[in-house]
Amino acid sequence: MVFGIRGLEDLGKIRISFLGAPRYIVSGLAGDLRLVTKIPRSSRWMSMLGDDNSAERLVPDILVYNEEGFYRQVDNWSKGQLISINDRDFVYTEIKKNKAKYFVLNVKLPSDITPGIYELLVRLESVTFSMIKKEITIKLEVLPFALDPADKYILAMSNDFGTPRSKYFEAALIDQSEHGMNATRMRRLVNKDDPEKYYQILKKNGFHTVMHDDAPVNKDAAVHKRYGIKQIFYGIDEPQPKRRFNNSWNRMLKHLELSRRIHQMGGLVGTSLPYLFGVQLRVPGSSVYVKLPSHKLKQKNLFEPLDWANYPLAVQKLGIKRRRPLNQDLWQYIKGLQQEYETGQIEPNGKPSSKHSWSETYYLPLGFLRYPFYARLLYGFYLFNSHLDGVCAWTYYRPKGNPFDDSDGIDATLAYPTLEGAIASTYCWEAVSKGVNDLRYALTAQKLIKELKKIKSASKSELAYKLEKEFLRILAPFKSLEIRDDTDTKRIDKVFSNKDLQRAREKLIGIILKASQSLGTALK
Amino acid sequence: MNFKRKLPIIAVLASIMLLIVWGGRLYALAGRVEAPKQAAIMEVFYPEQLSVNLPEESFSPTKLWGAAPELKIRATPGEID
Repeated sequence: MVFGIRGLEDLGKIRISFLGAPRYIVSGLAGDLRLVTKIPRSSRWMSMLGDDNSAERLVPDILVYNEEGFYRQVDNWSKGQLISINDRDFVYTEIKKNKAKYFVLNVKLPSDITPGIYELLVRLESVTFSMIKKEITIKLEVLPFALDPADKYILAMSNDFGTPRSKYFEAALIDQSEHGMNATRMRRLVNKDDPEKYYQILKKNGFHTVMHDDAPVNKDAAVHKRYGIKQIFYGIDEPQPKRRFNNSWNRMLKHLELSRRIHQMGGLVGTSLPYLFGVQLRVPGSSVYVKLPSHKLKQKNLFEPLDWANYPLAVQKLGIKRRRPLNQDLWQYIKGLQQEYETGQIEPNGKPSSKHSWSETYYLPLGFLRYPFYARLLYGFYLFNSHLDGVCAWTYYRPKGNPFDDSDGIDATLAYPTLEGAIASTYCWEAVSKGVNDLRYALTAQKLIKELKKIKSASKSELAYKLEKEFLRILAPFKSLEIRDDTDTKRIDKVFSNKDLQRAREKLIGIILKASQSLGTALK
Repeated sequence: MNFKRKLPIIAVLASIMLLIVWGGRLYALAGRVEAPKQAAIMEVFYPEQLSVNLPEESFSPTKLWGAAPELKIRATPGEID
């Protein structure tokens, strides 16, 4: 949760600590309280969001414990320096008169906690003015059900520490897993590496899929599942003709040749490319194959469809009039899937009838990840409504120079490695995690409605029908990223906010409670 | 002056003191004297969302102290919220 504290008087330097609840009331409950920093960032990738042409924007960024200590490090940053973020039991900051500070409190509930109402305490005390002391009560309501794990989705946030011997290899996986990710990218293992060790680390942290940056070395390494982890090998990134490569088809040719090599070893191939190219690669003789430079073709009958396609959402021009997004065919495809889902044209696997057989995910520009509303929506309700198989965005930690200053190059950063060997989170990374939980609430509601439908009882069927109708109504506002009415088309963030996502989640909780009570599965 | 002669004066003074103490208490109990109120020095609120490009003052917070409800978390067992 996030909350703000505004000083009506000067509060001076303050310590604010999460006390939680007494251990005899609830044991195993962990809380982490951090301060939200705000950092000016270049709006290069964010200007795609529309109507603001300012060169930089203030972005809620890294979460820290000691604000003064953090800014001291940023001000004295030297090349290659990592930030030190010591885990602390309290946040140390300053609140002046009429100024507000924002805090993120993450509470991790033990899985055996008894449902009910608990009181958690946060204590604030001023170091400057000893008489200022305050305890803030937070009501914790533990709901009587567990969430669906969302394992049928591919949820990934690239991984810039996926080199097996990176100091942050395991720390990054732990961090990604804690933020709901279940798929990750990995660099090639070298001869002396024990593959089982690395796959066990993936498994231990709940990952079910790994995308390899490099082609497999042999058939053994190319198997579809290795040590219980599904493997996909990445081809050439965005191989479609692009203006900056003179609209050449050479990269597509390279991609297809690489795909052939991987397929011949028995491996699965994936890459990021626009929807239309992904579909055409599945059709022998389609324009993708026809346009390849014939004088460079070494192999005849090149036909290498993708096993996993990561489509750009092409939201860059969202809501900008007369500049329609390029990827309209993807949006039309999603719209078609939504119509089939609503009219019950569903396959036994739960997917709409026209859903392609290969894995389909989408990715989005950095600017959208720096925008908490989109970060949450695109990993949450929009993903559910898209009926695609997941999200795989590319930004985790790719700074240029000082990671907290965009004037020396734009930093694509959603999390930061720390001097202590851990990964420090950001506000927007927390928003992604919140989105994954939204998705899990939707999946839980969907599953319970399905279970209710299976019971042969008039009253249960009636309830299932009623809840399903309500379920579709709750999620309907998040079906498209553009909201159209008779006169205008608006970006979704101009119409809805985080509050609407939270309200939708609350309503889903209502559905889950009714369904689980009727099924008799509510936890006690 | 011997003690017997002082006694009425002592009794009168004691009565006056008792009257002041108990009278004050009764007056306070009747609610006519209130302890000075501590002025609010801070407010805690839910920001609707921390968005980009907004200075902190332009957020529209919901006041939670006073008439508004307390901070609240709703979560499921095993969840990180």
